Amino acid sequence: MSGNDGPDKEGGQVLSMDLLLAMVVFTVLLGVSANAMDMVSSKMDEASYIHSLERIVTENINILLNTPGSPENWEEGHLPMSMVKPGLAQIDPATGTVNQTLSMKKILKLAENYNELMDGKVLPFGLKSTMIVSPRDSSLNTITISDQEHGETASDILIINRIVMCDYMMGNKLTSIISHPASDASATELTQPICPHCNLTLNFQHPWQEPGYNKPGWKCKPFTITQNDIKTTDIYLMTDPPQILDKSACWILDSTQNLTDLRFMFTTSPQHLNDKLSQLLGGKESATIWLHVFSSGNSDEAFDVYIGRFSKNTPVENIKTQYLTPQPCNFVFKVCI
Amino acid sequence: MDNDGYVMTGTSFLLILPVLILFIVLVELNYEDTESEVQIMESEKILQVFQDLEFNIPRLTRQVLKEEAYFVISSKKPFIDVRKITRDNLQFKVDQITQNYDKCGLQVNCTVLSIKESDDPFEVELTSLVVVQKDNVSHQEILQQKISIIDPYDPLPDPLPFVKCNEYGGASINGSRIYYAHSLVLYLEQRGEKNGMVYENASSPLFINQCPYDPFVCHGDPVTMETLKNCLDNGFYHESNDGACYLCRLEGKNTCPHQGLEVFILPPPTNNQSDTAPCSVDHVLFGEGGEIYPGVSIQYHQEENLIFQLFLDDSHRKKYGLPLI
Ligand SMILES: [Zn+2]
Ligand SMILES: [Zn+2]
Ligand SMILES: [Zn+2]
Ligand SMILES: [Zn+2]
Repeated sequence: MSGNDGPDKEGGQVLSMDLLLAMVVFTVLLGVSANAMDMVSSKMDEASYIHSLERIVTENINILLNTPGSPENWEEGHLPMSMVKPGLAQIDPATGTVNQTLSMKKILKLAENYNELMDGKVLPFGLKSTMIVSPRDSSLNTITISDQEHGETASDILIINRIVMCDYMMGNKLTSIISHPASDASATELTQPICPHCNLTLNFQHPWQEPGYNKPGWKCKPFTITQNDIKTTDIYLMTDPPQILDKSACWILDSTQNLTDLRFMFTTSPQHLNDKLSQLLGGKESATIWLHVFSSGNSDEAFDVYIGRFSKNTPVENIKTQYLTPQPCNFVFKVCI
Repeated sequence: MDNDGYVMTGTSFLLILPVLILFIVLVELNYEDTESEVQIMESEKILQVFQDLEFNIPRLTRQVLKEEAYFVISSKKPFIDVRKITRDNLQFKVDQITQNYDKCGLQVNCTVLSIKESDDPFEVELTSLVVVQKDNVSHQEILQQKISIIDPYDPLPDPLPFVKCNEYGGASINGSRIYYAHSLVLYLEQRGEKNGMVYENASSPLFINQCPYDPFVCHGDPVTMETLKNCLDNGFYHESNDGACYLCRLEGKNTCPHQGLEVFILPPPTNNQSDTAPCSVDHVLFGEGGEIYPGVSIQYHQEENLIFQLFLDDSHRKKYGLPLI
């Protein structure tokens, strides 16, 4: 710094040396920072690619779980799989709206045609993925929809884990008599149908079981059955839990055309009803059958009774009450990116 | 001095420049990154809202219909345009739910477009438009739902008898049945019907419940009438071309052009059997002069010397598989 010391011709040179020095430092820094920026931005590129892929996959899996797909009944195979956009949500047969349950038929169809339905539709081409539905209830089988080996080169694995309700649809519930106290107190049925036994002499009448009282009594419910149901499906009566503690419990199956007091005990294994129902139906095309269930009313011994329809020759180990109602499952999806 | 300072500042600025650029680029990349993450969370939230609404709307609709029915029962005044009023009442309830989402920063707008009868008289059809918005992500969908009016936990009452009997002394509720005392007799007398006296102290069910005896012709089986007796004991409602649908019942109509409901109105058991009387079906008994026609007695039960009977014409006998006149 020599500015003030006097008129000096060298002053200008000192200044330009200073500037030169600054320029050198500047150039070096510029080079270094350009290099750093290049490195960072290429890393960022990769990260944002993976990130947008994750985003796309997550969103597509959401759509897969929350929509029925298009067409809505794609699992019936009317269209070639190449024209199908898959979705696993079940359509409520009663209302025609999507309910928050996965359809087992759709899951199995997806498992059959996994690559064709997933690649380019739900996942970008060429990604390996694993999809599993594992029931919370460990007595039920885990369903592996896809299990593709993860390559060594996979740089990142995206895991999506959801709790879903899954309708096994192995069986169809015809009727149920629920005695387990509902978790929601308001959800107890106020009106019970009047049982046709009320017209019989006193000994054969079925006094109601008042909810909340520890008194023995009957619960009776009608359901409709057709000749076709009996011919094409196996109909079973079963309880939840399978082994019931209530020693006094018994059941009657009859119709208004043919009221009986023929009582049966519950057994640990499901009971096949086709012959009994066929007898009750006689020659008629369809009939309304009453299920009457007697129990002690003791809340420690409470049990639920189900009558369900299963496809003919379903192995006995698959006849379970859990297959009649949707079950909570973990949906696990892994994909290598 | 001035010159020196000037040169140095310029140099320092040049030195700082790349650092500044680097900083700006880094910040920008980082910002984009977090933004896309927020978007995923938002679309998940929006899906959740749709599911919530889809689940809650049927419950709210039944609640609205039930409140309207009890309003008709207590005021004895039918609605003029029940579809519009139901839509407005439901809109109010839905708004209360959707307002809650403001707290989560979501703008949810559910507009009830229409409520009308369905092909199945035990359902009503509801159409609504749902729009969910959060910042720049928005999603809209038309929800079309068929809502059952049958709820075993909280059944809907039939308002029609209370409207029809209002000027004749009214009807009263006892448990799950409606009792007519003298009002039905007066109602029929006023319309010049003969043998209306059998309906002194008649009764009919209060709650809408669907008859399980389907096909209806099995009501006549066996000949001892056990099936018909059980159907009458339970007070089941049946699908009918002539009877009014639930929405039209709220308007005090006994018949309507839609697929509707019918139920039997039972004379009390007596000692002496009458032969003919006005037909014991609600859409006939609650008809105006020309709509009421006679039926012939059917005995469906007997206890000692008390005879349980109802009166039906041939077309209803045919529908329920009962012996023809
Ligand atoms: Zn019974
Ligand atoms: Zn009936
Ligand atoms: Zn009719
Ligand atoms: Zn109508």
